[in-house]
Amino acid sequence: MRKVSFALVLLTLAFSAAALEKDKLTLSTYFNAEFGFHLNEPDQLMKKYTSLQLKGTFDFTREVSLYFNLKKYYDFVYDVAGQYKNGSAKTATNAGNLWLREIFLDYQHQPFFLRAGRQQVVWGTADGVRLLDCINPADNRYANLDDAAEYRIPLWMLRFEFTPITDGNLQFLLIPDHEPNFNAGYGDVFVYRVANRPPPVLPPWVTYQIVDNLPADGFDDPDFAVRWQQVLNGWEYSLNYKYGREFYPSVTVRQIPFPPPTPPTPWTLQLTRNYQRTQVIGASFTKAINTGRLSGLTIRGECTYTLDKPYPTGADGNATGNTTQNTFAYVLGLDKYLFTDLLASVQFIQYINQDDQVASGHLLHPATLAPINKVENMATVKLSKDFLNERLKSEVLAVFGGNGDWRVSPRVSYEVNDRLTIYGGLHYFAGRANTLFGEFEKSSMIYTGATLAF
Amino acid sequence: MRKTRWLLLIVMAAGMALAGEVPKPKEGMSVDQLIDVWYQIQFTRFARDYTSNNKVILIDRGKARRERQGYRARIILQQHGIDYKDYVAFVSPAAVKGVATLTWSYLDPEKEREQWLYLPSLKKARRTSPANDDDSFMGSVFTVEEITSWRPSYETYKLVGVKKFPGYKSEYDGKTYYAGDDCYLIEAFPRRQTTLRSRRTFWLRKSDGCCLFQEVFDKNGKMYKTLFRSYQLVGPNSYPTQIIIEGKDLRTGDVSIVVNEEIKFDQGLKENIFSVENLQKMKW
Repeated sequence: MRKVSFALVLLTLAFSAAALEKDKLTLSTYFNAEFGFHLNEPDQLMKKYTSLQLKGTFDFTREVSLYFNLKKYYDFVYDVAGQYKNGSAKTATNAGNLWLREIFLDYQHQPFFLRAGRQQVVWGTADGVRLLDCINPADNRYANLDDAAEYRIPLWMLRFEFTPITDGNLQFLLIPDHEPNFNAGYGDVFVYRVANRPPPVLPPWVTYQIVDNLPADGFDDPDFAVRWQQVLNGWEYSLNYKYGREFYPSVTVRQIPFPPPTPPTPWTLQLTRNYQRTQVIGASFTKAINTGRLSGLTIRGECTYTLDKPYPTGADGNATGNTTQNTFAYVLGLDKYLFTDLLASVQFIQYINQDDQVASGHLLHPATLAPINKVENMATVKLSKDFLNERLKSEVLAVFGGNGDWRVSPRVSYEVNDRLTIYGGLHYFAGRANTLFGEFEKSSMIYTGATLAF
Repeated sequence: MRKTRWLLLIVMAAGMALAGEVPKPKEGMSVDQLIDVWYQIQFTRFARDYTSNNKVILIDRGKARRERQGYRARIILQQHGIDYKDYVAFVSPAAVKGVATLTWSYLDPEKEREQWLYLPSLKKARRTSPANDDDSFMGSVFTVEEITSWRPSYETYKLVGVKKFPGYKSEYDGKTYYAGDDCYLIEAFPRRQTTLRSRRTFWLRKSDGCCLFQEVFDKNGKMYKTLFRSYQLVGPNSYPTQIIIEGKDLRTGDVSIVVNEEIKFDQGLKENIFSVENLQKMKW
């Protein structure tokens, strides 16, 4: 609450000062409406989304400036679509004070830079796959189908940078704020298999209790992260380290007291969510090939070694324990323009776990509760091309999950004029019900929308 | 106060000494030398750095008009293999606000440029494959080569002769420019076989080497595009500077106009403004 009050004071200051110096304030407003329908039953709504967003900057001095991004949205699908009326309605609107998406003050005095406030920090070179992009949690309620800047949850933090040489930069992040990932709940539109089950029906003498052990905000036990980034002889590389917490919980279930007394003596079934400390050690690179036959090809990659990454354990669909593993993952990507202006981009992703079996059972995927193998593969292919002087933009993204599951998302957008853009597309999911994309097979969606910006 | 004035004078004198001399056509120059004069002028290579606000107006055959505004900064280094570094950011319309590109161009003309793109939708500076030379520049009728990547070594040249420029009526402000100015008329033939054009012309003004007009011909020898440029002398060193660049696609009727405003040279920009780290500090 104190942070939001501080943010509101900053905004008031900026707008008051802007009354005197209008040229130092820039403002943009975005109105978006989007409708989604079941692909198999086009008369069934999946999304009736409306948002209003206000972004702005104010330059207090040459060195100090403010940025803010306020966004309020509401999804009417839970009010109008019968199928989702009994959902948890978590997707209906912003959670908590997250309508204040970003607000930060920048201070720049070469070679130093400080950004303080609620913000997003993006690491890594991969597209749509979050390995090094591990600083901010994710709002998964639309299954990460929207833009990354929209599904990342901004955090309050201090970002300090020091640039000792022209193309080399040291970044330090101090993050006293912790937010878990947001996921859709039972009955919502895009629900991960782990949450897609009704609350347990218990006899009247059993109390069901959820304890969410969210780490306390503050500087007593904050997360922190460090990155060195440099461009050297055309190679852009980074070395990264994060000491933080996992954004999804490790869940334990206890009967209190244990063993439970004989009915009708009351007892409690307690579900506890803990957020595991992890350390991420990573690196990334990009290289554009500028000469020879491969000229125009961009190669990029990133890798992470995560210490103590938590996993549920048990059998398919039934988690009975927890474990931690040291895991290694990497992405390799290639981009190139073909036939003058068709941009092709491919990525190969591999996750390597220490073991797929532990004493408490099989290692399970945290979102699907499906057994995961020691080595898991994924691949993405993206093609994009513009027409009509970049007025009509088209792209198609295909993601292959490695367990026979996949998704394909074609999309076109058309710039009607400087202010209005209309768009439409499709998210088609396929695969077994216990796979990352197959779990949404019945949620394949066709959508259309419009954005008015001024 | 007197000390400050002296200091200012010294700084200005140092700036003028550091800035390069503006080349001009001279009697007896070869066609390649004339083209090199234009190359120096087109990319203001005599200046150490450059900033401007730009307006790009796109008018299609149905007269529908779109407008983008941006900010551009460039530093000419010509050291450590780097020719220049270029930064462009959109400031309007709101739909594209915050999109920015950083380009590093090498001294070796055979070496492809390095490019990074900042996308507000990803909040990320992403290395990209630079667009092909024949690709459209920002959705306009100009190609990337015509606006940013052209090098004299890309073509061979033939001097047709000295002709009077017939004048050009600008779509942007309705004025007729440069009628009767003496120009070197030069024909240019691309070395690349893959390009869309068979040849193009350069109307280089005899007095200063500024290219006033270009006609572009397809493989069948039919003219399909024209480009016009207007100039002003800018700054204490009176650098010849492009103000209006106007392109017409004669096949589609599309017109694209670039207008450069608030142009400043030799401000002593630091190279680290043109770094990936700086691109990652974008707010939008």
